[in-house]
Amino acid sequence: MRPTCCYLLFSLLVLAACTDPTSDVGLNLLGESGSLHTQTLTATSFSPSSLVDITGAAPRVLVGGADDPLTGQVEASGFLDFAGEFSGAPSDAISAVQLRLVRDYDFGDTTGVLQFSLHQVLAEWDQSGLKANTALTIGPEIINVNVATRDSLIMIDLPASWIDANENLLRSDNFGSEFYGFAFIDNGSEQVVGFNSTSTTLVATSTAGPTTFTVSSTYTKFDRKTEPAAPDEFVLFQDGTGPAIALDFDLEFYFSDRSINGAVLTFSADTIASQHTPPNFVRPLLHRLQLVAVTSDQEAPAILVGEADLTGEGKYRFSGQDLSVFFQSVFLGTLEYDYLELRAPVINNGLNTVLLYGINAGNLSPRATFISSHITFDRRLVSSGKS
Amino acid sequence: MKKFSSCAILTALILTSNVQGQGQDDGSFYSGYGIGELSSFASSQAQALGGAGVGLFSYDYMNFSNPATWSRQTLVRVAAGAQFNRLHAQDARGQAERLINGNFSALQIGVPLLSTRLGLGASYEPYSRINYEVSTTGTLNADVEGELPFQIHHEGSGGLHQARIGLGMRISRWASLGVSADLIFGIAEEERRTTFDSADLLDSRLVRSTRLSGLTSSAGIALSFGGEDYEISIAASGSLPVTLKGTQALTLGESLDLDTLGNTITGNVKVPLRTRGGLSLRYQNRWLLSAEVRHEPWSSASSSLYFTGFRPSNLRDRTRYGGGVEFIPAGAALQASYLRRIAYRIGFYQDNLYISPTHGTDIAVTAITGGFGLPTLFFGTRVDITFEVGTRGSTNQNLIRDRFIGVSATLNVGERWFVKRRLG
Repeated sequence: MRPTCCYLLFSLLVLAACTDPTSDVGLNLLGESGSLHTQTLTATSFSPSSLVDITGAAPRVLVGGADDPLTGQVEASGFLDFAGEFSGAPSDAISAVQLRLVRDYDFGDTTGVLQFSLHQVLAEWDQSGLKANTALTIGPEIINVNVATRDSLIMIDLPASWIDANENLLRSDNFGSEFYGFAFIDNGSEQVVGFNSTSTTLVATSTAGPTTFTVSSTYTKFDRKTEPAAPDEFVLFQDGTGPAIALDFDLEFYFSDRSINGAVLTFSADTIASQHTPPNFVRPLLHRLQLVAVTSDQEAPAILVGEADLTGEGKYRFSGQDLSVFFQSVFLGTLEYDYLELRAPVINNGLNTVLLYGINAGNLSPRATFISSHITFDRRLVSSGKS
Repeated sequence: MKKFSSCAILTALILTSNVQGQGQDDGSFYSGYGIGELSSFASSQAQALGGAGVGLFSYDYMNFSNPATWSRQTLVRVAAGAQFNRLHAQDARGQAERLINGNFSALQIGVPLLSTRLGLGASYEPYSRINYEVSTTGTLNADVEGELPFQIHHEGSGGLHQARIGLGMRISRWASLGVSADLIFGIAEEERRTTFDSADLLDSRLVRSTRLSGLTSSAGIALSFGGEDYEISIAASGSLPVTLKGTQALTLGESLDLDTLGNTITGNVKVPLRTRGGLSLRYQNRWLLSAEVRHEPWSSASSSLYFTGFRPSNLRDRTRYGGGVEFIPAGAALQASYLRRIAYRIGFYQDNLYISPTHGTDIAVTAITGGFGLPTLFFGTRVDITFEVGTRGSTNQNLIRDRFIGVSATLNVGERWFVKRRLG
């Protein structure tokens, strides 16, 4: 036989080798690693946090006060800045200025008074990231407003003295930068209302017709007067004034050698108790929660891990690939955090409330279910051999 | 002729990469246990004789089961081969699958330093192989909406290799001794890929990689007695216990985007003594009988690294019996017809795996071997076709029975090198 033939025979045999599809023969010998592993952990901590909510740049400002038997007494002061260009000639006299506030939110005793004083903000402020405990410099009261109806549009005519003092500013090309807005300071209200920033306007009427200034910045300052009184077994969450909720799970030991395929974090709420109120009292339920990871660096922004809506069964359930990637990164050591926190989205600025079951609530306690893949990698399981 | 030899080496290397690349994941599920399925390749001749090579002297083959036999070399010899196996695996549930895999057998080199007195041998061959695949599908209900279909794919690959170099020397008319240094090294990988239909879940690929290496030595002795028509050889060889040192890491992700889970573990695997003894009988250059017994006390092995099933209760002492007969009708007559110059071989072996998935149960391997040694136009060069048919394990105790058919082809090239040309 010629060597060339041998070579060809060899090569053909090699190239003829092919891979058949695999089956599950041997699967029963794989034991635990032949299937997915699910592990449910209850939270090791779940308690009110000292988070101060960011209310700057929210699409709504809150104004008023309420004394809630569940959430305590709070006061809300709203701040609105306006921008725009005067549509008339510089010489046109301004005869009237009106604030048109569009109400889109109620909290508290809907039959109670809504009373606030209007002030002018005296210093420039940046709405971005503004926290709800930030005090802004305001001037003296311009007018005291008492809203008796539940109309969705509240119109406030500014006094002539204010118009005279600010007419040049209203007509100025620099109105947007030199006017710092209005403050709406609670003055003994029994309810809190929200004004939609998109629809709210400042209208100046001159001989040339009306000029509409739109809202350019928003901010709500909250002052908590009394602490909430959540029933035992529950932890109260309230948007705006807080408290938010800090929580954590003991993950490290169990998951250090696993890959995370899925994670589901479930928080159960008592929606009936959350909405149990005195007559004519409105306490909206919180429909959406955010889960964030707070890092030890106080200056660094928290990491948004996920969002969850309240289900018909009264649960906030966080899941999805982003959540799995987050926990996998934590286990890999590429991401670190101090603790997890439940927050309300900034965009929903309000005083919405929910009572969440705490860690002693048995099956309803906060829990995390992890779906993981596993390959044994544990020094404790190795052979010691015969001595 | 030297070009031909170089071509053979090159071919072997090309084939090696081809074979390993193509069929590395389609072998026995048992290869996933311990450090893999042990492999040894003494020579294509010994392989056809049930692997019984310890007492086998030959001018046509390098025999790597006993370095003492390297003393009897007259030609520079290069051998390279590959084997192909078809496997039918069946489990206790009656589930079955057919698999094909190809593997590199060995690359062997022999150089006669002093003709028929002192020879050098070197080889590179697999020491163990891990090549299996298992897939499953299922659904999961994990406190989320609906059931979640998933697929899990298990795969083992890699194994250990052995590089040897040594000398065989005839110390008297009837006795030869040989020693070799053996470097064992390689990477064993177990992979688990999990995929989901749901976009909410994260597909994953986990790989446990173990890198091992260690140096040991082998020694052998062979005693030959003969007359005009016959030769009897009695031989023994062994490899010292070796501690393979290594690291083990668990990684997550794809090839260029790997993350290490946890810490890399360092540790070792203690591989026991390997001994073999046997004899051969050659008669009139036509008949050759060879028999061998191997013993490896794997129950004394241990590991501080994790390997599937590597526990004292699952480690089994390995004893292997093998033997076979070779017949060359023409004997040493070079002028006989081609068919009469072919070496016809048949053999058998009985073995048990050193590791078992089930506590206290031996996984028996039984096979019939055979083959042909085909002469070529080149003196000293043969092409060997070898086959084996056998079974491994049983379906008792939830185990797996493999029925395998293997075919291997080995090119044995022998050339006369370092010969001074005579002028005139």
